[in-house]
Amino acid sequence: MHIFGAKAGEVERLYCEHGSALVLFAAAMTGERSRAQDAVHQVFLKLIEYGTLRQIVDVKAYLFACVRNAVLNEAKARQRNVELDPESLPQQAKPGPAGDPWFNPLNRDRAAELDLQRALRALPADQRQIIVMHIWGGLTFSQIGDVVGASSNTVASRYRYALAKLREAMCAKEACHVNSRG
Amino acid sequence: MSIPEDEQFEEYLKQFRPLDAEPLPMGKARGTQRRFGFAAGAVAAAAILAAAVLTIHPRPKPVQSTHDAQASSDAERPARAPQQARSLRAGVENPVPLTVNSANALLNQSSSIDEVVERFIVQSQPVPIPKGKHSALAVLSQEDPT
Repeated sequence: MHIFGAKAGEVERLYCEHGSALVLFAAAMTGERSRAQDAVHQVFLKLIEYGTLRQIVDVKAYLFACVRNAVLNEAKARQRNVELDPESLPQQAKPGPAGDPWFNPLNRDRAAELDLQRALRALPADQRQIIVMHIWGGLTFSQIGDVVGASSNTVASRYRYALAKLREAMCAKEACHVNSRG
Repeated sequence: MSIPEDEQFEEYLKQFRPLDAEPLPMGKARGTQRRFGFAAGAVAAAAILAAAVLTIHPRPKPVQSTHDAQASSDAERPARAPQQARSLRAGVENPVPLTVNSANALLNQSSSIDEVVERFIVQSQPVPIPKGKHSALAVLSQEDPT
């Protein structure tokens, strides 16, 4: 917990540190990596331009909240401008085939990644966001609660429910892919 | 098939590393900052230029009466030249005290600022005192002989 000004170098350091998790989080919301990347870039470029980190205490949670807002705003703008396409809406993503890869393919077989991606897409949007923020973003339940506007107990409950569904989906896919790896 | 515990499953999931984010397009941010800086500089330069122009050429806005408005049309301007000469002579012969109204009238009648200044100088010459009368200022300024 500390306060600092948003110099360009500091913002770039934050981007290096949290950029991949934030893009994954945005991709989990949008379903498209390109849109996710655009949203994250938009947030960080605004931070560089306006330097609004000066008064922020919990920077990591703030960044996730900014990305979440950017994605939601972009989705609203799309709904205003384009005929609604149910597949493109964040709330209804997704059990379909996985598109752009979300995870690094190094040292890991592609099938497991696709299983995970597919299982994540099958989760309800709020649970998917919570899973990504907690596991790959490293946010606590309290921080996630601040981001999504819910209590930490609610977040924890949703997380455990989502984790169970994720595990079930991945284990059902193959002869428990998880056990063979873990 | 055993279902792993939550902690084990979390550790397993954490082994998947999210794809690296693409580099920040810093050129865009710097371009925005440069554009902002250029715009701010342009506005400042324009303000300085405007202030300089106003300082060098102060142009009081004339108060136009109906009579003056009639006289201010460009078509009448050449015809006003002899009249201005007459009023200039009249000003020298019968000087009037300088007031706001008279200054505005002078500005309306004159074709340039220089002409107005010249007429002010002419008007500010000492008024001749008729014979047999004394200037109160001159009397008061004399030393008491006693």
